[in-house]
Amino acid sequence: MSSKMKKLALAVFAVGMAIPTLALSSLGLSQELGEIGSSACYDCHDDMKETMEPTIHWRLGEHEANLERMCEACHGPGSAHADSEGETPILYTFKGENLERDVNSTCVRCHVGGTTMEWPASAHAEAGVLCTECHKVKEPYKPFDLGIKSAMCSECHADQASLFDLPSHHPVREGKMHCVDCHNPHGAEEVMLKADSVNDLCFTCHADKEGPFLYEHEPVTENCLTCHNAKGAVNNNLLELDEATLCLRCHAGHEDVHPRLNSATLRAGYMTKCTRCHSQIHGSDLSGFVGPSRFVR
Amino acid sequence: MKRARNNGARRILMLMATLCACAVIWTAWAAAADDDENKRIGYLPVIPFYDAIEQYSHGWDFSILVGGAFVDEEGTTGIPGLSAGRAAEYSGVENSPLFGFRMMRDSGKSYSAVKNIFLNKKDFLTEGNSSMFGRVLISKSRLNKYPHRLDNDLAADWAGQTFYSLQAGSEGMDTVVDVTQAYRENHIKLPWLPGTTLYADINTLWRSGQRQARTLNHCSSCHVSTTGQTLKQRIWDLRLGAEVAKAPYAVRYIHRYRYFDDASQALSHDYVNLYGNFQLEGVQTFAATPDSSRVSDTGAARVDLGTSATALVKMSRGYSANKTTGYRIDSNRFSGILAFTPMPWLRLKGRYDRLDWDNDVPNSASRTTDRFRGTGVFRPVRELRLEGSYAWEKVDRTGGTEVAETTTKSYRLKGTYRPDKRMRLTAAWRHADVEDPFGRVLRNSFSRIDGVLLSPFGTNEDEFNAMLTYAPFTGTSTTFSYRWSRSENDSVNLSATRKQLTAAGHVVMGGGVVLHGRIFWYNNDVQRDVYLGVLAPLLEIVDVPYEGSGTSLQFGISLPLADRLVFRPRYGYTKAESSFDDAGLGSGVAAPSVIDATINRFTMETDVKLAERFDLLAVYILDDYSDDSQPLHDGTVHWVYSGLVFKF
Repeated sequence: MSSKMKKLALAVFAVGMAIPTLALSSLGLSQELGEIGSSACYDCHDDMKETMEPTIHWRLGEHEANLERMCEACHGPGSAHADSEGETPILYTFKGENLERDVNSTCVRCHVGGTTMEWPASAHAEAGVLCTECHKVKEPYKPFDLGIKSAMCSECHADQASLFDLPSHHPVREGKMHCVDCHNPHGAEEVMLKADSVNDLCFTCHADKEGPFLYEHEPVTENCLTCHNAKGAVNNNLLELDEATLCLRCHAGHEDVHPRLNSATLRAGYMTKCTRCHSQIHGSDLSGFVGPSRFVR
Repeated sequence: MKRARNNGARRILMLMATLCACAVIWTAWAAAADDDENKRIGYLPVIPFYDAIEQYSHGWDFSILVGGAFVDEEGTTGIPGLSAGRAAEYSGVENSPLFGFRMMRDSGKSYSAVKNIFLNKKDFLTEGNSSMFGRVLISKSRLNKYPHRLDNDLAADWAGQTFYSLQAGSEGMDTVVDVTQAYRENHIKLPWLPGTTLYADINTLWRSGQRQARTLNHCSSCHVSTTGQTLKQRIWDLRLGAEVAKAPYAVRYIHRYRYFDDASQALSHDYVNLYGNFQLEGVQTFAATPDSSRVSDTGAARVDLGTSATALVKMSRGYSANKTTGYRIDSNRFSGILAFTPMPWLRLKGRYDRLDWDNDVPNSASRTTDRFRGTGVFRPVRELRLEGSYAWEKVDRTGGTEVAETTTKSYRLKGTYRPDKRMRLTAAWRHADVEDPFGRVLRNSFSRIDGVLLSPFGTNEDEFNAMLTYAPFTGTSTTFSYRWSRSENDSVNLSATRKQLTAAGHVVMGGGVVLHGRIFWYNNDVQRDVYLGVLAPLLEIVDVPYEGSGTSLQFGISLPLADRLVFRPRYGYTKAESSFDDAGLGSGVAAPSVIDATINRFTMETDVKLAERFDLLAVYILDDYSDDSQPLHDGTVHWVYSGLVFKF
């Protein structure tokens, strides 16, 4: 890393360490307003006890959260609300016009780590997607439900889900992969990838394409999406175009090597599937047979 | 090879299984009376037993499924265990016992849940989820296996062009891989250090199978014989790390080690030099994929600055190494992000990334990428979000043969109107100016082509997309989206346009009836110069327009016909076409590359509650693939999965 970059990183850290005193002072607010504890909440909201007990928040360990403070952890200190017997509304109601404000200012107070670490910088946050659009806080936690399902993502991203219907596709519609295998819905990377780059993600399962090879194919090392559509495509092997058209975007045809290719019949043999001969198209440690030929073995 | 079409015994077995299942269902339907509401939606043809997510009471839950899977196939491939043609590309197609179980122990903070479906030895899925020791150890796991048939070689049976038809090297061998994935994610929360989590995740993936070797029929008759390849590859991916997250801070460190091990045989071609005018002779072995490893250390820190700003920093350092040659690529990355909301109606974000990629293989490319992006979101009124962003990226490449430097400047405008939670309307437009897009520079002493940049990308790109989501009533959801993008590059006369239109929705009706459907259409139109030959006397520049298109229609219904009987029929139709205009090359050149495929999929799931502890499940799946241009890949597969579920 260059010295400029180091200085920039240090500056960000310095600001980050100095300003949170403001945040700490804001935490004192809860003490001023006065917390009453969840037991007091149940005195009036007795139905909530039954509703909340099966939820994931009430299943948290003592080392993770204080159950007695759970109601007020989201709804804010309740003393004024309780003292007025409900006349004074609770601070965060999560209803009507306040929903967005309350969600945005509540969930992130605790969820700063794990998969939500990058949430404030994520595309979903930028687009105003609320946590409660995917997560149902007051629904019972279901251990069999192993995370966000692809069907849920497809409700908004129907255009992306549709690509899995095309002949060549990753096995998402077959239930062998899920959207969240590649994407972190809370992530800040490009298109919410779960890796530093497209290639880094693809190599997680396709490490045989990583190399480094003695004879590398530069589009492979640059970006897998130069040739492939990761979700689905009409053409084989998730290729965005048919093979010959795809290769001819960067390469000239074979007329120099084989002058007889001026004949249309001969061209047909050479312009159907380049990888029939160039079988090691993602890279190879062996040179070609002769001359500059590459990726043929 | 024609085994499937004529396998009468299999057909009779399948027919009997279907009739038995229907008879039991009919009997059960007549006798059924209970309250088993089901409002599941989705489009994945999975076994209901596996995917059922039911309400349950805390405690112990255990149920097993025992039955059979019966398959019939029609097609021309007919290699045992492989699907006919391209139908059922990711499925095994053998009659087999059907087995599954769901097991859960739940005591509130601690729980363990495992569900499994075993279709056959090449196709099964097990997933687990657990919290143990009062949520000190939280784990998720998956054991997944499926076949993937990859032998879709166009022109493998190109009728009418025997000169160029392909000769298989190894009879009875096809290109197919069996993928097995074992994944385990362990998060250990330290009770004496609140907010501290240790990570120990492991992901292993095995690929085994075979690859067919083919040569042109004409060549193989005298000069070349081929030998196929057995595949045997393994990936180990280990992540170890720790995180401390205590608002407003979070710090994380992850060490990652990935190991790729290849024990495959290499393809080989044996060249026989009968006439003395070929330079090749003897066995030419194709490169076996080298073993490799990837090691990286990543640190990340987040700090919330008051309630209105968040700073994120991420740094990683690592390398990828070829274990055969010893060469490696060193990679370094820095990312800094500041998201700031100074006013409730204004949100700002700045981001800077730098990626260094240093390849020590001779004559190979190294890259440095610098990227900056600034975004502002303005909300003049609560219902409206207006977003503008600017991004700048520069990629410097050294050592390779591709273009040396690419600079991209892009601008994006986006508006979102959301009057209430039932409706969201979004429209966005992006424009990018690209200087010297990634591509290959032709070098030749003939000045006509020297320095010409052949690139698949445009120098100016535009993209527009609009989306409307609307839920007019409770229990309904509709989505309409349109995408349009255009890419142009004058130096190669490139004009590429892609259009995509989608409509989807579902409605929950009375009586637990759920309707869902989706329509999708896309078109990809590419016009550009293609260079044939680089030597001036032979150089031709021709236009080879490409067009690809896809249309898909999916709909289904969840239909509780009686309290104890649920039918879930689903139908999917896909039409996919791909071709190029060969006028510039010569009539007939395009023929072997054309795809004109039609896919029909039909699924019928039934779920019958026979008694308090017994359910009957029966699933019929039809997968039909036909290609008017490449009939070799035509195929139809029918499955019947049927079994009894016993709940302990």
